[in-house]
Amino acid sequence: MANPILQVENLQICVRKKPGVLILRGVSFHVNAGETLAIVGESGCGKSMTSLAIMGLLPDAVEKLSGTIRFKGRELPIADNRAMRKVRAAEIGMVFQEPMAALDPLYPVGKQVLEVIEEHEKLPREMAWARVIDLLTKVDLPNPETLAWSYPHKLSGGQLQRVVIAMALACNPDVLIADEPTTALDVTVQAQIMRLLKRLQRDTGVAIVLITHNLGLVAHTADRVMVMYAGNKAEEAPTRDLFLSPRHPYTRGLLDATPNPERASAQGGVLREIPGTVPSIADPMSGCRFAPRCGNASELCRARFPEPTIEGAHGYACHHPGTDARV
Amino acid sequence: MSNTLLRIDDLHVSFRVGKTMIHPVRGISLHLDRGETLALVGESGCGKTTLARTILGLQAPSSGRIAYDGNDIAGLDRFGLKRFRPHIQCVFQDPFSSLNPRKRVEQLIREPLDIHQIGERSTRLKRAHEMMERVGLPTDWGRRFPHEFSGGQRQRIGIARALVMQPDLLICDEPVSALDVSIQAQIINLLWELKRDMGLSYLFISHDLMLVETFADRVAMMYQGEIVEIGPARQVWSNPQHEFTRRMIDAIPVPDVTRPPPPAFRIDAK
Repeated sequence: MANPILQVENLQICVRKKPGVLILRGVSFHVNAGETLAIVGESGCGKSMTSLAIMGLLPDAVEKLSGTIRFKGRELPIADNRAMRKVRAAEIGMVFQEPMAALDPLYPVGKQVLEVIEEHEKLPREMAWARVIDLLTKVDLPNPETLAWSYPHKLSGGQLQRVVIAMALACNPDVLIADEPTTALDVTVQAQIMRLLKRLQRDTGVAIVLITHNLGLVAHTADRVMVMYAGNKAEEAPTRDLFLSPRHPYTRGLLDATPNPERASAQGGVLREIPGTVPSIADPMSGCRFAPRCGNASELCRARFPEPTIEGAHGYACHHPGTDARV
Repeated sequence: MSNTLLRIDDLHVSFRVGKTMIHPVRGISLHLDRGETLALVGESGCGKTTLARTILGLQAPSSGRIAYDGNDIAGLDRFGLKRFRPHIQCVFQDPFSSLNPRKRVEQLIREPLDIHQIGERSTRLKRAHEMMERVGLPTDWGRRFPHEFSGGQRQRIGIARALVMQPDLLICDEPVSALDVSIQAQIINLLWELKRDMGLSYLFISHDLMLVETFADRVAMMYQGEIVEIGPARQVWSNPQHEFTRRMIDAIPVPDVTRPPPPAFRIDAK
């Protein structure tokens, strides 16, 4: 099912006018039609910057240094805001972390969904409104006709996120980027939202790029996973492979640091931690950026950044990959 | 000296928001032994933070008893509270908003000692530095300001500031939920070591049942202002009794691909 709908090649993003301060240090990946790709990493690893780049929403303080982003084979004009307006929502939808911040408090939620439809399609108002009600129904909101006229503050966090999902899917995009869509929500609501996303994916065939730091979510919702660390791709693999035989020490560290009641607890503490902190983006280190925190690091790691190794669907960038399987 | 450090009996808290009265805490009773970690788990709005604030004397209870080491603290006045506060300290959720950005780190950590006039000026600074070392911060960073630290380091500052008073009980209100997974593990392990070395007791407030299962001795599940289930952490996780606990566990994605997704994640679930 090698049918990449979205292809990112060697994407480098730097602080504007400072090509030495790299936020993304050359990241390549693809998303196949209809699949869920999870992008995992900790704050500052570049996962949100990647999604903003795809949407052409990079903040003014940064710019693309090199690389291409292709959607259905053609390059996205991410620096051209007018051209990108036609892509956003119509072809690539986006769900943000804070549903309250993603909606305008001064307009009823139905109007905000309507706005998306009217931006992209010429429809009589009644038909567009019928579509709004239909969308709100599809995302399982109760009494959509009444709810459409509610202002955001009247809705709960989970309901707001459903509205945002309705907006993102209003024009049947082929790709949905969900940036930490459940981080602000309670765990039972998180499950409802993830279930909704998976069901909508099954019904519409939309590909989902799920950006998250929650490995539990990844385990149960993603087909493939890309792990990022400090602006680099550390590892990429089908979900099962990544969990059962992670090769990159950072992936292993993340899995070990995640609380898991079904596994025996680690020695010397309650959780196995990764010592140290993420290096600053301005740090001009030439080697592997994980080396200062890595137990296997050698001179080679500190001197040269590891070239990616590809083994089938599994890829990783490490000089000394772990080989033992995890149970 | 009894083994029970904190005992709460039928505590109610209510206050007015606009024109309506709300009752975030509805008749809570619990006890915490010396050296124990009790986790208070619930979803947002269940009243767990209000309960913590009431124990700290930041919110007045409308009825009920809070006994600390046998003494009732629910009805204390300003002066009584000040004498009592050194015994219970708190670590807050957000390491960004809980530190004054205009004060140097060593000042921030020393401040509780200044307020309570504990020791001489010079020894206070020395104690602040000892505490920094204890939580894993280099003492020569004492002259820096909070913005120069990462989230995890700031949470270490918050812990140092709480522990410089040598409290018996530390209330941790979601101390790691703003942190990344690898840093979260560092802070949890630090809290665990400090407890072991300093003989602390923790009231650990969290929404993350999976995290507290690895860390707490007992877990109290809180739902709509009441404790609906309380017991040994392992037991609550593996054999939940209350409907709310079961519903929460069914929704928690355990990071394990060899087991089926949790029931709440299945597309065809209702």
